[in-house]
Amino acid sequence: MKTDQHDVVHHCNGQNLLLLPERAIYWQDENALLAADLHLGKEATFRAAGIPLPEGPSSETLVRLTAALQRTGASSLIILGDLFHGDNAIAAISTLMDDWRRLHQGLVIELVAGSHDHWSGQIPEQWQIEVHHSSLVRGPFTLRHYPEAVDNSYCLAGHLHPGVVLKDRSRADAMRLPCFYFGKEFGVLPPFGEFTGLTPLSPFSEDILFVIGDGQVIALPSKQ
Amino acid sequence: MKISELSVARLESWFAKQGWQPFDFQKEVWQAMAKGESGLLHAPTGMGKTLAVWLGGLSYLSKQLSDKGLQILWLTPLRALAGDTCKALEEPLAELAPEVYVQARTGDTSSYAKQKQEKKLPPALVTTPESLTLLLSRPTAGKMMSSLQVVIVDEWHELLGSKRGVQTELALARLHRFVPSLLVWGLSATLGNLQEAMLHLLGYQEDSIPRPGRLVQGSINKELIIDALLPDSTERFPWAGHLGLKMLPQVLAELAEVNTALVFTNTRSQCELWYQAIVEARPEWAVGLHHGSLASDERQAVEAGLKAGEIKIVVCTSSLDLGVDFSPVERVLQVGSPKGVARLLQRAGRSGHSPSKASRVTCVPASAFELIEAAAARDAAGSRSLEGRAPYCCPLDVLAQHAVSLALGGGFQADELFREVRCSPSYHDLSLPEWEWLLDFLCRGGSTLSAYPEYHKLSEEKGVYTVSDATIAKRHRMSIGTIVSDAAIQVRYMKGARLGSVEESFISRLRPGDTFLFAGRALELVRLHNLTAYVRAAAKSGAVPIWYGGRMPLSSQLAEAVCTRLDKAAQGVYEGVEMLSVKPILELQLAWSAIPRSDQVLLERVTSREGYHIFLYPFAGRLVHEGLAALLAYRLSRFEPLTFSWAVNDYGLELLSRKNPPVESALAGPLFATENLTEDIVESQNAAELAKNRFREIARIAGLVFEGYPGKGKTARQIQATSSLIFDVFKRYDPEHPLLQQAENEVLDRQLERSRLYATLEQLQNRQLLKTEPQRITPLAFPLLVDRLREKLTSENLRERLQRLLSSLEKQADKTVKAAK
Repeated sequence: MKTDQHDVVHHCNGQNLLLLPERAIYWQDENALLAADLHLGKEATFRAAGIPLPEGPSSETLVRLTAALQRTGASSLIILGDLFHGDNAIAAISTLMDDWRRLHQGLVIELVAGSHDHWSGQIPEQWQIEVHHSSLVRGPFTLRHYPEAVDNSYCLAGHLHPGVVLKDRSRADAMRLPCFYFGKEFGVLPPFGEFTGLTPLSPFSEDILFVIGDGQVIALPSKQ
Repeated sequence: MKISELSVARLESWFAKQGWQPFDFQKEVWQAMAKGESGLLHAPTGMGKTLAVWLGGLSYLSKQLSDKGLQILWLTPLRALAGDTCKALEEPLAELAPEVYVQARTGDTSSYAKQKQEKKLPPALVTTPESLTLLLSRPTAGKMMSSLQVVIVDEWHELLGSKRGVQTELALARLHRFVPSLLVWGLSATLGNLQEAMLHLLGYQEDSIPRPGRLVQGSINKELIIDALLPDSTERFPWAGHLGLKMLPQVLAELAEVNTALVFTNTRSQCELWYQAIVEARPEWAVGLHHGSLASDERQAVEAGLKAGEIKIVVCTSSLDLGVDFSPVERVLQVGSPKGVARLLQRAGRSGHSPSKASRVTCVPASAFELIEAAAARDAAGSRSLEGRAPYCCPLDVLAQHAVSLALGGGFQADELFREVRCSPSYHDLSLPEWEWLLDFLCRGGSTLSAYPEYHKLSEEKGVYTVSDATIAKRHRMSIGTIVSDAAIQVRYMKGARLGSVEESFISRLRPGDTFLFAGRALELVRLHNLTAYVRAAAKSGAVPIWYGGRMPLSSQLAEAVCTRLDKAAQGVYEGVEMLSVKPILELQLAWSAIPRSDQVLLERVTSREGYHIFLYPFAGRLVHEGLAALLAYRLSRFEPLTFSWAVNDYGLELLSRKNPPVESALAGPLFATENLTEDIVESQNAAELAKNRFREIARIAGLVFEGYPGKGKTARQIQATSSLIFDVFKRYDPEHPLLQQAENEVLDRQLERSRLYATLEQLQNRQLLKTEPQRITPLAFPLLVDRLREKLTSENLRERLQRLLSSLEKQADKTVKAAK
């Protein structure tokens, strides 16, 4: 694949994981792209509840997904849960999704189901998405939606929407950025979707954090 | 129910029986109401306003034929006061109108009582704007309100200029539609814009002519005393200071003389500190603490204690500005700058709370210049130069909410409702395109969007708009209202008792084990969990939360009075004890630099180790100075690349830079120009961030986010999003959205006071610029120099900002690692 100076390689459980500023991981040995929490169709769920939000986030999310797939040349895509957001989501984006799937015909797509996937209804067959119910063991990793310590394996997950708030000491300036999190027991990907919030983590801890800002992945200093 | 004839003569004889003599203004209101006139009555607190409109209303009712259902509606802004109001209104009923009874209906009323009321409304109902709108969202609203004859709006000055006031206007427009002959009266403290206040209360007729009304002035011959506590010696008196605890001995001496007193402070931090200081100095006194962040039962206990005479002194903030005639106190003290004249008068009214006694408020200056403000406030009060409250113009969020409420309340027709809302002065200038956008927004999601099949908030059938989805209806009813609570962290003992709430920005700076002062107690933070700070009692000492809200600017009226006092001082005229007291400091100012005359603006340039300081004193209040400082820094840095930091207060601003800024060439150019003002403000401020903060309230009112929606069900979880996330989505995918524009305009008009900033720039152009270059920091400049809250204008781009923030983090990390070793 074409790597980019903005990517960062993170060695994890004997594997090289390439952390991409597109908010995804490229796993070289498997030629797979990992992404979590896309929340496609979220704006439609809001509209159905009487909250009028503009069209756009879902198609923007898919555009970025295409870019990451093309840049890495990944042959498979593994979604760590919350591919679709909720009520009405699948119906509302079905045309969009049909078109996108045609664009990536050879791509193998697997989904480890998350909280929202249980709400969003039946995934149409023509999208060819293989659904795993709570976890998927692949090589030295256990892929899940909910992060959890797993014996004899390292868990990679989503769900938490990790982010970091960077502040200067005078606190006059602050930025909130998505991040990759790697703890002792599990690693968590940033939310891939455009229309997703962040849960701030402490920027300086025992754990390893990489923030995404200005199109780059940047390692934060750690206590280790 | 039919009230027996209640003539004005009978009211007077009832007064005589109580041993009272009605005031002229009371008789004027009775006669006006008997004739079916509407109006606005303004007078200081404790002047008998309630009896004037209440008895006038009863007298009017006694002449009407209808005698079924709800007859008179009493609106109050504070639901905690509804009970007290009911009691006050009930007092004369036994003798004058035994057929009438009063009930309250607020958020605190049980749902059982509410259901009973809906079957049979009482003749007189005391309620809040929110509860009234909820009634109007019932399908039977038209029937329930058809018998209504009189509406009285209490504390109208509190509602005017707020979105709750806008909501009230809209509800009144609806009531006028149900009952065209409706009598409306407002009670208000004295304001600078009374005619406008009355217009917004009474509204327009459909032909755009203002509804006629009578403005009645309560008697003003009540004696008013504004004075100040003087420091022992001004030499040791601080030039700057926020807390003013230096004056504690004098305050204690004053309080020792009286049985009851209120000590008003400007901020909640000041309130906590003064409470602590008084309790420590006089542990034997019964002292209470009252401010807006305390849990409501804590506050109510203090109010009850004051009423029962168990509490001698209450240290409070503006949280005690409102209230029905609750027991008067002997003395009122105002710690720190009074900020505004009308507010000071209102506070003075809390003392000697009866028509015959004098009102007195004593200012406790925290710094030398606040002595001038005390004298200036007396001047301004004497010349009746009072502040007004600026009403909103066409806020779309409130209208969106109101339209959905009415769609629930039996539905509406578009053109009819358009005519109706334009009778509310806040929407008199609403254009047809704006209205059409709003309808589109509610029915289809917004004009820029294609039709969304899944969106159906309002649906239209044969020209009538209604809500057909039961879940949407329920959620809307639960979120009616315009009060948006701060993102606050609850403070709670480990054992469970709730103490109140503090801002997240304060608590996030504390670590477990740190102590802070809150609710009059020293507390230790144990842990932070689920928006709750769990605390336990700590040994004394600790930081005091700084609440950023409520930092009121000095009003234009008071600022002008201060300038007049300075103008006299510039000519060597010092009148009154306050001015004589501050004379030595002003003479230093004159000797080292200058004192500006009324037609001058002072600009001081000082060079220090820190760099080049520019001090400018427009006396326009801190909000304007904040906007102005950013604007001037921006315009100066366009001449050459410069980095400025600045500080502001109510008198002026300081710009500081490492390099000597090109002041002379900037002054020759457009430094103070009013052209491109809006563009330059937007460029110079972090306008997007400010608008995002403002959008929180708008998103909540317009129904884009839900706070405290109790459902934990899956739909509730699926539509949770913060207003800032919604803001980002709009900003990116629908940047022209009118609700975003509303947020931007509210930032410019309400936060940065664009019109006052404009006027200030005009003054800067027209007045003579008095430039001095003092050798040292002058008394006027000193408070600015010690202000630690500095802002910075930086021309860094995103990448540089990110690098700087990261390197700041690296430094902190290095330190922690070293400390660990």
